[in-house]
Amino acid sequence: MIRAVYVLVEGGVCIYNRAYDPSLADPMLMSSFVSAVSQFSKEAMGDDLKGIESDGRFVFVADHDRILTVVIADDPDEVDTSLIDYISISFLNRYSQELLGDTGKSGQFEDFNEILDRIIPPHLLRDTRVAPMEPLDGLSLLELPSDLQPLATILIREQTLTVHNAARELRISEPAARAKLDSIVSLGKAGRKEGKGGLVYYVE
Amino acid sequence: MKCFTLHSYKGGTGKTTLVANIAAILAQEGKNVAVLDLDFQAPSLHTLIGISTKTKYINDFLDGSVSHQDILNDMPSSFSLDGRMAVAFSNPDVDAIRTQLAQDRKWHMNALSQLLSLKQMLADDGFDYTILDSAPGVHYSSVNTIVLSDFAVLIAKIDNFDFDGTLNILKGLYTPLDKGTYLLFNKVVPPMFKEPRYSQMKETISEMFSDLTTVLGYVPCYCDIPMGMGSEIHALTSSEIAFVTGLRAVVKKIDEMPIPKPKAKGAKK
Repeated sequence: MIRAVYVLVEGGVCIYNRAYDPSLADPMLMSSFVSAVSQFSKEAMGDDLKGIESDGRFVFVADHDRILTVVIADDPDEVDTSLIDYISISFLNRYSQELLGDTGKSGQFEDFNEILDRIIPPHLLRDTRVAPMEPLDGLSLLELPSDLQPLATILIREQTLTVHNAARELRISEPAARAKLDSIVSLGKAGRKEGKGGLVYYVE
Repeated sequence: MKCFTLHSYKGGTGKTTLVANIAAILAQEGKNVAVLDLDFQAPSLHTLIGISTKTKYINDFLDGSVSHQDILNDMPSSFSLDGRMAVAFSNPDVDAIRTQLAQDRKWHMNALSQLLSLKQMLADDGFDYTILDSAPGVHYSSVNTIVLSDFAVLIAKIDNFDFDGTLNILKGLYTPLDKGTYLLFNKVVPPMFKEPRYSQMKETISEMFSDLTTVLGYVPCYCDIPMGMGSEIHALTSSEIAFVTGLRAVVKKIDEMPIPKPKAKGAKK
């Protein structure tokens, strides 16, 4: 899930934020953290888009002309260059004039919310992430009902699995594969998260 | 490809000797056989076959430092095998054993993941069989070995320790994991083959195990085996001795029979 989007200007001042996760700290309080991370990201990684993990979340930073765009996501697979570029360019296009002047007015960029909500694919805004409660090793497999064991074994081998691939491997329908994967998740043996290609089940 | 493990409740049942000889017999019959020593706590297959300072181990494959081809050691051509017999060893160095013993469940989950991939690679390489030499008893690694295999050949001696222990793992491990098994009795002392003792022994075994597994046979205790001092695969060096001819019959059954289905159901939580 994408948890928040921030736009910063020179000096690390946050001029826009959209938090999809109400549990996140006040964006203004976050701005110094985000600013520091952004600076580090720029210096350490150059133009490569890489997420910096912090407290189980990934912070992505992209530098475009006068703004830094920061996206906070649960998983490194959820954010790619095209998405963050699209957000940045849309912001620059819409506010090219405003960015030349005073950017400190309250609510000045609020109408970008609507645009942003259209840019980010809806599945990346759903909180479907469930972390596994224990490693799925041989001993853990013993506790699973036998009808779930073949799929769990494939999941151990692959480490991450989509519903489509699970259905193909077991030669069963996708709804049946999804039901089995969800059962393994509900037993705490696997996790579930949104990836670029949709829902992904994983072990760790 | 068929993948099976030789496993037992207790150590000292002769698993490693049987693994090496079964693999050699299958390779003599033209089958391509991979053998993996997965007894990380007490590796011993290397003693029978020999290693060099250049040997790469399954441990190296699991830590990602070598490919699966690097760990496969082909038997020398002097044995004139009709099929391929390639062996992957577990590192016998005490430091490696200690490191392995200290690993947590997450490590074992990743190890199982890599071993499942290895199994697929061996099938892709054209192996007809992968035979796993498991650690005895119930450990992370032995349970992983059972998960990895299509079925297991449980090795037991004729005594109550092994009877009870084998029953225990059949009910507690193999049934919940839905794995088919065969039971092979090894090191059976010659007087047990004399009547009426032989019939009594078979009746006891049938009462205890017929609902749970299929008895594959009884391998007598032959002095030739300890005389080899653990450095000889008799199927390769003395193929006419009774141990080898008896084992050929067992291997023929394994080769001809379909992968066994689990006999007992419903032992789930």
